[in-house]
Amino acid sequence: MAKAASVEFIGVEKKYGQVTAVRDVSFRVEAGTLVTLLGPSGCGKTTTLRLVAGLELATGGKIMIGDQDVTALGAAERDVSMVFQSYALFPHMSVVENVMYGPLASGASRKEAEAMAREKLALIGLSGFEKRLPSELSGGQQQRVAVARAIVLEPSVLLFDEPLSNLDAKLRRKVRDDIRDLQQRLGLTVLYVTHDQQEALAVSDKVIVMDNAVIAQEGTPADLYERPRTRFLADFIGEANIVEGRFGADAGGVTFAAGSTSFGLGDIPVPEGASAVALRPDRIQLTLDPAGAFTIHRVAYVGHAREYLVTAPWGEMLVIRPLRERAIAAGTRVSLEIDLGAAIAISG
Amino acid sequence: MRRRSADRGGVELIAAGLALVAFVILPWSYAGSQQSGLAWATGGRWLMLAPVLLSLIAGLLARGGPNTAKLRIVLTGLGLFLLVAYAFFGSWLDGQPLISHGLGAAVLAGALLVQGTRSLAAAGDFKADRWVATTTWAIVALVLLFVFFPVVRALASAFLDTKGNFDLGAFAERFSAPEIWNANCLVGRGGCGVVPNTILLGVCAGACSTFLGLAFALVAQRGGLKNTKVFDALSLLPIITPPFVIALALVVIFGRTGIVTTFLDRTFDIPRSRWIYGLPGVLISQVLSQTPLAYMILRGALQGISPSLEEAAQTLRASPWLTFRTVTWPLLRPAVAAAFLLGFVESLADFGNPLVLGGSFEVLSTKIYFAVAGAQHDPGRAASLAIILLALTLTAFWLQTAWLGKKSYVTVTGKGDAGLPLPLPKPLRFAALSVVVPWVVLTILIYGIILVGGFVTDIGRGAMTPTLQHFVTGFAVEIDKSGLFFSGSAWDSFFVTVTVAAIAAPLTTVIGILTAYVLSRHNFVGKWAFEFLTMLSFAIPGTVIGVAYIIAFNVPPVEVAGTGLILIFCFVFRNMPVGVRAGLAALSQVDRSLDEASTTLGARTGTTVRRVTLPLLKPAIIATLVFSFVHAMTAVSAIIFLATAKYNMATVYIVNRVEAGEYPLAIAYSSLLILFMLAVVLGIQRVVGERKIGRRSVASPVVTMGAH
Repeated sequence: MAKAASVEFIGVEKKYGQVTAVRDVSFRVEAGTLVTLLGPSGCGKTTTLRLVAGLELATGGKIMIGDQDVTALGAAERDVSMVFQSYALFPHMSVVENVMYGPLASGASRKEAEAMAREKLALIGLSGFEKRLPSELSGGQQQRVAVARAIVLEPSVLLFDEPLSNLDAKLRRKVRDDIRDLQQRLGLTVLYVTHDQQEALAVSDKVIVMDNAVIAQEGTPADLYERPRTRFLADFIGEANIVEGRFGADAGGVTFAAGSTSFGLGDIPVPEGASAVALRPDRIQLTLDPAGAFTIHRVAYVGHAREYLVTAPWGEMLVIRPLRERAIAAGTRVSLEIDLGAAIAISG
Repeated sequence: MRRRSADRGGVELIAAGLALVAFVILPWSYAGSQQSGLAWATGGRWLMLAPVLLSLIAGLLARGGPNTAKLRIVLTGLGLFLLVAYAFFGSWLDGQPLISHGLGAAVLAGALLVQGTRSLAAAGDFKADRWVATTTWAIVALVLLFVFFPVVRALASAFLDTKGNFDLGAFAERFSAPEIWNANCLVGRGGCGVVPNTILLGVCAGACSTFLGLAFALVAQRGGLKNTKVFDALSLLPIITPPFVIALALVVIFGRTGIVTTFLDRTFDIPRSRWIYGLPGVLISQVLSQTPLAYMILRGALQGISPSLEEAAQTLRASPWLTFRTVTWPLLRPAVAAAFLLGFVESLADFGNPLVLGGSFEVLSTKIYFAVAGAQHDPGRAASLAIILLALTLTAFWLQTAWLGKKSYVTVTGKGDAGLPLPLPKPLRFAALSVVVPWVVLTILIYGIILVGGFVTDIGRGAMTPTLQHFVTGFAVEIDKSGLFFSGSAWDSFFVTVTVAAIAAPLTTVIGILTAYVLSRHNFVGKWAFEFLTMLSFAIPGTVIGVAYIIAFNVPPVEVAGTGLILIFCFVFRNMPVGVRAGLAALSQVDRSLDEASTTLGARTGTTVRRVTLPLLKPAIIATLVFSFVHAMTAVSAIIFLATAKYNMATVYIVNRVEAGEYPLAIAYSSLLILFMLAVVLGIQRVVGERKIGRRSVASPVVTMGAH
């Protein structure tokens, strides 16, 4: 196996004419780890991935793979492979020919190339499918061929562009786990683009969240979910009720006042300039209270839980409660309590 | 495991070496002297040494990679500049006459181009992609030399007096001649000038062929007919029919001694007349040949209208007629306008029909021809007329892109769209059928005449005795001791035509498809100019190209007039836009990520194109091959200027027979050509199963010309 290499972006910028797709982006992907680029569509995550691949060339900054500066190298010169969103299997070539393509383009003999291809097809469990055309495979099988084709050259970095978006929901979880398994078994450096935050949290060593051409925040999945720094992040990763208000303090720790309602939040960090809290819907308790300031507006039974839409003085809030708790009917007045330490103080 | 070493400039050095060898050994010129570039240079033309020396220096510097790239760009750029400058303006520099440029010069120019473009890529242009850089500039150079240069050179001669001096007065005089602009026919008596004639004919032909095409499209798509094979045949006809053949058939039917005329004269005592010669005849023949084009455009548009739109209208309680009026027709309107403009442009460009049927009704294309070919031989006047024709055509194209480009309603999405198209409302169906049926009868009659005409004594005069005499005259084959001897008078032109077409077709395909690839897959500075250049020859009427070639390539530095080579160049660059459009359409169906996947697997652009892109473009490549072959065999407007006694073309031979009044031989030859091309087209369709081959592809110019 070729040595997995780290990837480093140093102040990288990509402009298309007047439009900046990636602005001053710096990050590091350690060798042998799986890092996700996460963000809403148009945030620059795919451009970043293509910059790593060499399919786009940076207009500023520096890109390092291992200790080699690859900023000016084209895709064919970089030791990077990619699994495309559409899989991009060559429709006129059989499965084995698709996987052989890389070795052949790099000057291997047909025999060598075929041996390498068969080995990788066996690795991903597609032996026996060599002579099929891509159109004769299911979506999941096509995806595995795309992976085999990408790893056959044993690249120092492997890229995935939204690899699950063309699969049905059931298959997604399995393929997601397969990719993570493969990455850990072979010790690959993987950079993975997705817009699905659950997928990102599930597979990654580190998640880089992008918004509007810049990095919004990076960290481990737990970091991002539990300590989002901005409103955008709190809202984007997991579900959150954002409530504006003022922070204070009393003996119990931090307090938060939204309008005339005040909550004790417990001992949570409050950054400078914080002006709102993010409340995860499953960390809010509902108590029947005829004098409460809140009204249940709607109840939805969603199988594993009940979702309440609660009318608060500052707007609507989403609260999710487990089924084992007694259902509360719409129109009932309630009071809210926030789990101590569960609220997240955010800025912006 | 992967990755070869980076480029060490080996290709550039080899190019420089080839340039040197070519300069020393190969004949420099195409026409005239066979001496090498070195011999010319040492014979007193020392300036010719400069480009080859610059090429050598740049070649030796190529090892430096990106470090010497800028310097190499300057050196090779200067080399090319000096080569071109000396070729075109050398006589100003050293007072010696210009010389013809041939193989040696082409190799040197090619080497400089390869060196320069690879240096550009090394300096970071074209995303550092050497293959794209070289391909793009090679196409630009060829188009500049074989489209832009001749047209500009020819149009410039409108400003020269008979002695070759610049004279604005001469232009003004030619340009304002009353025979051009006079519009008497509109206000009363007398004939019109050539411009009002041309526009009148164009508008009528465009309107009539669009109307008929619409009727055909409605009947074929919505008429509820079980068998629409006749319509498929209809869309094949214009591909294989030389443009003047219909005019020829009309003369045989409606001419002074024509079949119908004679019948009317004898039976109803309607006097014979020459009404067919002039506007009516030309109009009928143009409409006959253009209706299939309009039909294909409008049928495509009708197919593109999602049935669910009409179903939606019907669920909203709209009657079939209301649905047609308020949904179908408005969605169809841009295609109707496109068909009209295309008909207009085709009518302007048409040369064969006005030549045979025009009589005293002159249009620009024939007027241009007679200005050069006739007794008057006045290239200046031809050029002035060509400027007007070109302006009219470009205006129509401009209208099409500027106005229609924004108005196309694309209702086809990637999603499968179930639903049944709405059948035509009854009155509309009746009206459409009552137009279509007589027209089908007329078309069948015309092709019947062509097929039968060759086998009877003289169908034009009603002499219907069966005979093979015309085929013997044209296509006799004798067998003597030395083997087969093709003694028929038409064989020479037939063989030349097939040879030229067979050489031109693959070249057209290569340059057209590569252009499409560069256009659709790569972005670079000045791409719009590149696109404009490559589409230019599509907009230029054949007559203008013919005049341009004969004026520009009759003298050094590119002296190829009168040879077979000029015919090949003419076909390649006339038909190239068809390859471009077929390629663009096909490439839009091929996901870009396939190219990118290949690149990330370590394949360079050349490999990607060869192993991934081209195999996926096979249908477009075959369509272009067939089209350019067939079109090279049927074209007449440009080629009539360029054919010579030695290199005669089938169509030109036929036109000459028509002008000499030898109708039976012309008809016999035409029928043979049509059958030959029918065999070629059907044979290839049988082999590759590709049915979408059109003289103008169904995706009308709006799509490609307005796409970017």
